[in-house]
Amino acid sequence: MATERLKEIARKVLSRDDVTCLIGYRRGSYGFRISPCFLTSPDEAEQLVISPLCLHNLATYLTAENIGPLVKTKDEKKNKIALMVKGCDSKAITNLIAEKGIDRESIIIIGIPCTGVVDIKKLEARFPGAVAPATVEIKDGMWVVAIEGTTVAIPLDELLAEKCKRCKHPTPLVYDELAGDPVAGKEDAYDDVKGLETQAIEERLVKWQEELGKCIRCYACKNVCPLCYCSDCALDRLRPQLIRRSVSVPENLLFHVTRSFHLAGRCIACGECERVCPQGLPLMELNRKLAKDVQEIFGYETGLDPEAKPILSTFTIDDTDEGIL
Amino acid sequence: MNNPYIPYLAMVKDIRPETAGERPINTYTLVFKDESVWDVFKNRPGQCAMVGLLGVGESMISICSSPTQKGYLQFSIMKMGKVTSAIHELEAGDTMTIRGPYGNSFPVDDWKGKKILTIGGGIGQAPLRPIINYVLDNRKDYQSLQLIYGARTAADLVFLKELQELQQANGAQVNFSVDRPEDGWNGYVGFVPAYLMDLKPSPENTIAITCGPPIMIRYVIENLLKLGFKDEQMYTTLENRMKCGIGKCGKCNVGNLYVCKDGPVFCYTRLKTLPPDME
Amino acid sequence: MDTVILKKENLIGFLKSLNAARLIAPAAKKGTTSFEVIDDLSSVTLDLNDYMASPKKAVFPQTETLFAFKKQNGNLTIAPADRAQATVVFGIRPCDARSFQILDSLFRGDFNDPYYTNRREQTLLIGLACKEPTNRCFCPSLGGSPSSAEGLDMLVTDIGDAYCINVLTDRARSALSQSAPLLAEATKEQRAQKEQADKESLAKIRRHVDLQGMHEKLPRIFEHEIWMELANKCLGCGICTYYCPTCHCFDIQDEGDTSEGRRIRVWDACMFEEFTRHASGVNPRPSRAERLRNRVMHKFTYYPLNLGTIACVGCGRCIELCPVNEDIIEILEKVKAVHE
Repeated sequence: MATERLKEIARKVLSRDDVTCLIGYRRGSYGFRISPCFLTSPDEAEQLVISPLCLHNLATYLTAENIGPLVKTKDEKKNKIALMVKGCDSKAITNLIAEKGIDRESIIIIGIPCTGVVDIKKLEARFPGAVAPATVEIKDGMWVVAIEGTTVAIPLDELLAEKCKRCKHPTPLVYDELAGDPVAGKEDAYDDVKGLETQAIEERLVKWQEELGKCIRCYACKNVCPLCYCSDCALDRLRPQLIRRSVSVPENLLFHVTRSFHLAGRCIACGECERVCPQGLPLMELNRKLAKDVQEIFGYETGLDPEAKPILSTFTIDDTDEGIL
Repeated sequence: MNNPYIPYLAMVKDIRPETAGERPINTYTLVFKDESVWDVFKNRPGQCAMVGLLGVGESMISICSSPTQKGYLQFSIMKMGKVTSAIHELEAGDTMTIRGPYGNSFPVDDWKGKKILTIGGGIGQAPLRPIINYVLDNRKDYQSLQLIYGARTAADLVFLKELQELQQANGAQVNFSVDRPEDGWNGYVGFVPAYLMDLKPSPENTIAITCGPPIMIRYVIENLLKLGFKDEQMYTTLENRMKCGIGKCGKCNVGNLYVCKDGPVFCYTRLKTLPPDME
Repeated sequence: MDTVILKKENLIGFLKSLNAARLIAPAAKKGTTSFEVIDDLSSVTLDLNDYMASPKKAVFPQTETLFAFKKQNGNLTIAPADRAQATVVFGIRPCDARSFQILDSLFRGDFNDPYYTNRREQTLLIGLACKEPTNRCFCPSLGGSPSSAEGLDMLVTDIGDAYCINVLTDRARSALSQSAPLLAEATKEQRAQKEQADKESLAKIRRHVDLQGMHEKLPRIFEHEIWMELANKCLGCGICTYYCPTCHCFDIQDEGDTSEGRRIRVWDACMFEEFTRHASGVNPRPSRAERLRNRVMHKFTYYPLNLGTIACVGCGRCIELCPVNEDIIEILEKVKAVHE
């Protein structure tokens, strides 16, 4: 079983002298919730879980403020962090390596071939109120939900997270260990941005003013994003102040549009921003549209190759100067 | 005034440069545009005020003049962030805003009959200045006045001229120090806590008030304890980022106390009970 | 007439009869429910078991103008913001009503905050007892209950075929001056139904935490490494604070330029790195560990010390909305388990 294989790998990794901690998933505090965890000794490996409820992209902790986890050790030999990554998460790492945000040598990647994660909002709406641990597994092409003594089988598409419906790389693209058998990818025709593309400009404006008007600027989207890791973000700086602190449609628009442009060619579509948004903003529509544009214009797909040159931070002599002068 | 967020308007009467360099310090003398503000604005030594510029913002700055200096308020302001940088662009005659006065103050009445010792470092001399001026203006109430004041270089010493004059005219003992040797400096070379150990002021009937960088305060207190000072003989002032000035915005707390409201003046008896939440 | 009955079909008529200049009530909006200023009474939604946003903004809006200023012909004028409108908050949960009392103790306190106080004085609170507490609710651990009347002017309880309304204050009585035709004195049987409903909802609370000794223990473990362990997964976002009905920290900013503009107050979050950073760059709470500790201690130690009450009502929004399962009950349990 994948979980047993994972625990074995984790024990081995945590026994190494150069590993500070292993970032993985454990059972959360109630119901369907899973929690990120930071393990430091081999006997803690028993806590680890793999399940369709492991939603978080743990790569974000590699670049979290104060860079990496708040570990106790000051031991210089312990200079590596191990972490569990799904296919989409691995693309964040690939891209971080490509843009030299992290050093490949400083991490040990435990790859988790992913059969898809659930949309937790849909799941909890369907099975509200779980306090005792509840689980979800995939069996015979169905979700099997076990909650408070009963099990229910549900067709995959009813609870599958949106991003998983067109995942091309469910098996991590970069890893040191793989806990499970590779999973085949799906086609991605960017169907999810067709709505936005076909919408009239005026309607788009109305829609996005309404959507972004709901934003309360909690910055969960920014903080959960593995690629939003500038140590001094221009969007909350006071000198110069690009965006006012007041929460209003124009300021919110400026915040989200600037952020999504900064993610153009960098977003790896893990969908974490949209998952964590407490106000339900459809942020991935913006990010995915820009990813599509980058792919069409430059033939560049983000997160596939750690050696790739980040497309929007490089230039060639043949580049036109349109839009610059 | 029952709306604590509405500032008073004040005019910049005088700007006196104290130090130069990348982070210069100027002393601003401000007068209220409406003189009747003095009926309600009763500052005590050690208190702070929110000084600001409309359209830019506000900063909490300690009032460095003494209430015995009537008709104006002085603030020594280092060019640092958004607000203080904008203040450094001002000229005499410009308008600023003032809210306050905020916080507690030095218990100067309780100190009557005592020897007053101030130990300052860098811009930390500013919150000590109102005590010095207050003591000088009520000289007969206090047994003696000694100042130990150091900065990185002689050019970083604020109020240098007036402190030198004070040494000559008022019988106060003034001891200057700089961190590193420099041409033309005849005074002490070294850090303030070391100078303190060199001077060995007697703890007897003395109140020591220290203000400066947190690391300096820590060693000064350590050394005062070595010299035999008791907890209740030592005072300091703290600073933190502040916005409201009235204990509501949640920014300046150290443990359950708000620097803006419960401070900025802390006797060591209280300071040592605070959680180690400071730098 | 302190316990009255309102027929369910008369709800809209009842709301109309209150003649509120401004009515704030839960309204469905694109799949989510939040407290909104109601223009169309039919958009009021009471049949949802749950709604995420607290009505805190009714008395403490996320962004508000403190004053506007203008320089003209050498004259500078400062114009304070307008006074608040008379407001009815309808459908507020008992936990949220208790949070208003907690906010009162701070904003009224030793320096009166005129913006908050003015809004608060203009606001009538009509609560709705919870029929179906959720899996995040733990109000009884904080001294509340799904049917607590604390801090309310009226409490509405769904008793099946009708609403039972407890009229609790004189302000409520005068607000009901036009509503009499829609209300009937509750019968003994209906009162019993209300009591039964209260009992049933209380029994549905499934999460608890014993806070005995908590506020004393927290300062003793201030320097314990548990804060690092607890803060490791924290993303440092503002969800827990912005959704918390008792969180009140704010920033003050100027907008405009030196000749014309306004000074605003806007919610701020102690989980943000920038919150306590000095202009010099020094930060007294430099990492997520210090910030998480301060948030927990502010609620469970500092607030009790300063204002005599824990700044948590057990609404559990922070638990449900945290993207990384940072669960306040789990945090408190772990604090309790720290061996001293």
